[in-house]
Amino acid sequence: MGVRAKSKADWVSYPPLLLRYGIAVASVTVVFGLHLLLDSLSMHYSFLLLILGATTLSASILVSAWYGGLGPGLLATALAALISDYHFVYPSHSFSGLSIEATPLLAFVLEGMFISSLAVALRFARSSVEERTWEARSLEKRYRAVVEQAAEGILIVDVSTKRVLDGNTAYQSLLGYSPEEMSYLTLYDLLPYSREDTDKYVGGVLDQNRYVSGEWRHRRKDGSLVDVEVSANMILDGGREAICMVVRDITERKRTEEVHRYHAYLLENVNDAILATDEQMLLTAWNKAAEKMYGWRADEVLGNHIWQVVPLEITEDQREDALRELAETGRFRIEVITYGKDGTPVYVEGVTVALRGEEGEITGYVNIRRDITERKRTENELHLLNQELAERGRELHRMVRRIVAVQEEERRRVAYEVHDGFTQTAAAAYRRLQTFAEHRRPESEEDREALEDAIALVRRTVEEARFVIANLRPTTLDDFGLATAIRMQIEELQTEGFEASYEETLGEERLPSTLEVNLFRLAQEALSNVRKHAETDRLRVAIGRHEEVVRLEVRDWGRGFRTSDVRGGAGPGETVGLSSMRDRVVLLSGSLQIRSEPGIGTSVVAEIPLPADGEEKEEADDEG
Amino acid sequence: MPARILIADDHELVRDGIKHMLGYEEDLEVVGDASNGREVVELCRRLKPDLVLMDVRMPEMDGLEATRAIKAEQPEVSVLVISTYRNPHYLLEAIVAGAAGYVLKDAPNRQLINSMHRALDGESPLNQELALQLIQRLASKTSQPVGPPPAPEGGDAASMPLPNKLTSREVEVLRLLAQGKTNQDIAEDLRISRATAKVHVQHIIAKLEVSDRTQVIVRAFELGLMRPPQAQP
Repeated sequence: MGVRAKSKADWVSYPPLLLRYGIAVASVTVVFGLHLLLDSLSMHYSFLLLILGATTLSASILVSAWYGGLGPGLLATALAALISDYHFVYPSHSFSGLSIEATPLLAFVLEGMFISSLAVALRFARSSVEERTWEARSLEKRYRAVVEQAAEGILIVDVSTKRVLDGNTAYQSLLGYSPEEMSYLTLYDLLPYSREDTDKYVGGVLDQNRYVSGEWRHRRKDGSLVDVEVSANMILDGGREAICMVVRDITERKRTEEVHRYHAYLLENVNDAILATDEQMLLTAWNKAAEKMYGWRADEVLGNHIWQVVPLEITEDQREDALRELAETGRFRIEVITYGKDGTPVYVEGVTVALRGEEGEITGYVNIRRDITERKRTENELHLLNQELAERGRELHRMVRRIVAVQEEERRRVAYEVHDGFTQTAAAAYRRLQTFAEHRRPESEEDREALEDAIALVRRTVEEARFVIANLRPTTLDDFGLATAIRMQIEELQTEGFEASYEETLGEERLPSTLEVNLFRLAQEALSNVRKHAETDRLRVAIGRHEEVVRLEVRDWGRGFRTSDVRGGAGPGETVGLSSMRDRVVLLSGSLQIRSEPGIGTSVVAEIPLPADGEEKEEADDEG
Repeated sequence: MPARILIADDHELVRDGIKHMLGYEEDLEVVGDASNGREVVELCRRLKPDLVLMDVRMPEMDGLEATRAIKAEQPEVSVLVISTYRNPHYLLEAIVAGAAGYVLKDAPNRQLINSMHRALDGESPLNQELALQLIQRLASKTSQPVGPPPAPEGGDAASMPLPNKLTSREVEVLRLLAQGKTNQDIAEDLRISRATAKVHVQHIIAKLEVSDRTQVIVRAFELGLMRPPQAQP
């Protein structure tokens, strides 16, 4: 009792020691006093007095025990016994006579003890009740506080009437009701289900001996529904059976779930294979496209190491580079051959991204792969096609070179044939005829004239033959080389009245014949253009050799043209001339630069590299 | 005594035609003909003609090379180059090679015969223009600045680096000759008679050991008697 009192805030707290016993003594004394008083009222010892006496003494014992505890109670009992002895035991008014007539006294003592104990017990019981009540009160307060402050809605509903017994603030605001309104509602109002279903629900909760959780919908005041997660349990509320429901608004969660579901759906159904792993490279995700790509089902591969499931055709260096890039930038891209279930190779373009946690540590990887077998095949084909094209181009080039060489050869042949056969014969005939005419003059003037005419004709054939040869193949080129052949052209221009200057730094060494012929033709062409279009009489030709490049320039101070016009195709002659020059230059693997300013002049510059030894041989073969 | 003529041409028809023509000329006698350069050089050695009619284009050895060969061994032999090509360049090259002149194959008979006579006389078709061109050509060949020899100062001919020393008068004549002047021009410039001029020219030709006036320039050039040209073409 003493311990209890200490721990429970001294519920059963008796007054201090002195007071307690004091009360006992005092109460007995008061009763004794009362007896004496009655005595003095000459009321003789009677039965009534006995009763009265016993009652008052008992009362005092009760009081003592009630207020003082067991000890004082017993003290009071003892004192009361004494007083009883005094008053009621023979001889009265004395404390002696403890004889066999003292038995009532003993009974009285026992009764006194009993009364004391009872008083103590009663008091204790009362305290207990008070304590319990206080505890209950404070529990109630705590409960209240929790319920009211709870973020989640808490609803308590009577099982039989379905009336709302309590709905906390959170629940009220979730549904939009005021506390007063809430108190009038029933579960049927709050749940959008039929009465039957609602009853069934309640019944279900009752059946279970534990919490019943589920996702439901509750109805707001405005009639709209809200998704909630409800945990319900049966409780006793003020003696009645009630359902206590903890209601959580899961609208947000549902929305997030929806988004997640949607994302998962997308990932599942996206075209690119998505392989996700944890930081140990064990597979954590494997979407439909991955299944399709590699032939493995998700359930077959999840948890396994990604490189074991999908081997890569990768060198050590490549792997290192990739890991380094991944470490530095958090991602890397690679084109690599991977192998699927049956060992079938799949050429993929893969992007790997490292996933990081809050502190920047790697928590996993995501690989996104696209099958590029087709693309690679196409690239390869393209590459092969390009190579073929290049080869064809070269072939074409060679062919054109051969054609040009053959063409030149043909010209040369014809020129020499004309020279050798035709011209000589004509020249000889001319001479013979002259001799004949001189020494065997015809008699008549007519005949002489006829002969002169014939001779003149023969002479003309030589002239014309000479002209043909010169145009086909200037022998100067063969005999004296490019520099001289061009000089010849210059001199001809000079005789025509042109102010033509010539700079030549080719040196004594002659160039390969293909080069000489083509450069000569280029010069011919350019000079022909000057004659035809420049409308000037001032020009300059420069040809020189600098290391391994021969440079030819034909410059005129003529009327010039807009280079853009020519590209468009000004006149047929111009375009043909320039484009055939370009062809020739290209054939020689050189460059052609044509600059022109209207009113200022034109400059044609060709730069031709001297062929390397091997190429020269190729040319010789071409000319065969 | 008719002049002895050699004909070199790879076309028989041409040779025959010329032979036939020369058959009517009493002062020109064809002593042989060749069909290529090698042959003509050999024939020249053997027959020692006065003049060779040399075609430019021939197999084995072409005309110009043959000319050079002949002039090297027998500088007194005149060479007249004949060709189909009307090309001043050929003319220049021929002269540089040692030819006295250049004639076209379709030149009228008279012209051909006259050319032959002139060549035999030591004349050559050297005019001003040709002279300049010749000098230019010679200069470009050896990249040496060249021009007519300087006028003798103080009239000291002894300062001339020559095997056969030219007289100061001859040097003067040489100067004018190198400008392509005819004997008549030289005579007028120096106030001498044409005949005297001609004699001077012939002396120069002899001293320089050449066959004609054109070769005089070439030889003078070789001897380093020429100085930078003044006029540009």
